Amino acid sequence: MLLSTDSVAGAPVYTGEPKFKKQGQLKETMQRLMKNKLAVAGMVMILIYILLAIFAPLLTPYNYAELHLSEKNQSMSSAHWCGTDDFGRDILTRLLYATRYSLGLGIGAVLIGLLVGIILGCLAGYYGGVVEEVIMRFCDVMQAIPGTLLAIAISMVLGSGFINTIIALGIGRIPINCRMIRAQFLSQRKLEYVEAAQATNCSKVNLMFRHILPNTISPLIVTTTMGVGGTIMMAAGLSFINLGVQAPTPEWGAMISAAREYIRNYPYQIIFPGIFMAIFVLSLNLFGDGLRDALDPKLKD
Amino acid sequence: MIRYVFKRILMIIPVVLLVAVVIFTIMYFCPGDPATIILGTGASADEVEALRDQMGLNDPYIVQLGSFMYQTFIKLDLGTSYINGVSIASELASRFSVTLVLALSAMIIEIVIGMPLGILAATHRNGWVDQLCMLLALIGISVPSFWIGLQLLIIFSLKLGWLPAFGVSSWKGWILPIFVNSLRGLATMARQSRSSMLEVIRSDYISTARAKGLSERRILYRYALPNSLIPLIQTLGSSFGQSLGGTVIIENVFSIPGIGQFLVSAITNRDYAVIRSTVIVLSIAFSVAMLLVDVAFGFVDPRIKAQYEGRNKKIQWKRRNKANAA
Repeated sequence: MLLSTDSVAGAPVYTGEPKFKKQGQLKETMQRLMKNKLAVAGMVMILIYILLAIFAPLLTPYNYAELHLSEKNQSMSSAHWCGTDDFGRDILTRLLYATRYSLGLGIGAVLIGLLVGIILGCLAGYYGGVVEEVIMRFCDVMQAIPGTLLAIAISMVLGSGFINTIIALGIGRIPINCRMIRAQFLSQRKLEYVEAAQATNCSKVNLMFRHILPNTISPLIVTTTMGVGGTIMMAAGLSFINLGVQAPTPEWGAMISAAREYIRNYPYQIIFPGIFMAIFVLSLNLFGDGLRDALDPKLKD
Repeated sequence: MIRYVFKRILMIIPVVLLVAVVIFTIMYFCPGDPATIILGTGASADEVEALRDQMGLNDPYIVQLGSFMYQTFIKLDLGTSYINGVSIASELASRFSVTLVLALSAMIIEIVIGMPLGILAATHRNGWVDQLCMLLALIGISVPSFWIGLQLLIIFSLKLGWLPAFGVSSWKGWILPIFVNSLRGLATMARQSRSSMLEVIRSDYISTARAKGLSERRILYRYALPNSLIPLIQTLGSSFGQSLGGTVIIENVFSIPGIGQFLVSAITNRDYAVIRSTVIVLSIAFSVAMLLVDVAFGFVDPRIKAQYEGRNKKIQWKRRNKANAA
């Protein structure tokens, strides 16, 4: 890498260190990503949602939990753009605040799954043998339980609430990440750079997390991006069957669930949270698709 | 091939048992005392204690686990509901067919509509057909199915009055639930079959076939399709699991008397025995589905077939050699 044959001919010598090369890769990936209009649109929408979540108190004059029974079930108007719900709360305000909770749920659960999954996957992929066998059988069993049901069982034990729902949803994601990291580790374990690192008496932890892990991460980025959307939808499903986040905490699924009673007379109470949520998940998926194509250009035609 | 099938069946047994152990362990930590739930808050402490003894709730964890496993797998008794005392096994048995119809028909729709859509998109890639299919698929995986269900309910049941708003007493009642439950899997399947097909189309043997001057039709159906289907079959099992989990919520949207509705009412009533048994039964159903898919996969994928048949031949060859040597 330090010397190239071109140097003889007087061409610029390539003395790039790995770090330099990595930046080049990142730049290339970003360039490919930026060319994909849909992915950029998704990214912009995600940014808008994040800004909405952060600046929610500045954007709306209403409080998301305060009851105004005199104004209940109002239709759309200039005062309440999306109308009010059965407690007279402004639906748009609740949607904005719900972005905070739904985003938090999605990202939190995915991070838990990622963290534990990566550690288990690294151990399984690196050590092999009994460790691998135990961890992989654990994954088998966890994946033999349909995700929704596992989340239901765990949230029954933990009870409802924001943090508990994050944990319940996060546990279901552990085996997915674990499997993926292990598969990547198996393909990397025999490569020369691992041997080289071992020869320099590199510690196992260092070898696993600083040398091999960075090389295995790119397929994980895509599943993680898509996973946030999937988790938000699953969280909404849990709220819909009265688990998950509880009132008065605004959450998109909980809002749909609460509005179900008024489906006949006030359908807008259901329509707005659904659209708000769908646009966000759609943006995440667009961005995820774009990322996948950018990270692995071979996959694109 | 019998060896392969047999091996897969043997492999599923520990998974099923461990699933039961995991679910039992998770539910073991549920807050609240079953005896109190059964007797209600009005019962005296002595009565509660007596019932706890009778139910074996004072035994150590491992004894409880053992008796639970014995009851469930040897005596096939799933216990009774804490709330109304009905037998869970008979309740599940009477509701199982409804849930199975929902989950299976969703899977069939995925195969019959999702796969062709994806293949169509792949063969017309970057054309308007491709873009339309993929846009629809993207929307399909981005919109929560219960929300779509409620919207369709508003349109077709409440506004137009074409379809019943709840129950499955007539065939009309099935239309919306099946459609809604299949939506996510349909979209996923279309996306996967597109990428699977694209991967095959790019491979060298397709170029060879083209170079030989074969017709596009023949290349598509005889060369590309079989190979692109193989990875798709593998995903069918997990998509069945997803639609099985989906029924829990869909049954609740359309008030369908299946296992999902049973489970949700148990969640509302904190009826832990029902939740535990239901989750275990559905997980077993999922494992069996995965097994069936794997076995089917073994018959379709020549590589697995060859592996097992080749092995048999090898063994026979070794035996013959031994016999000759003797």
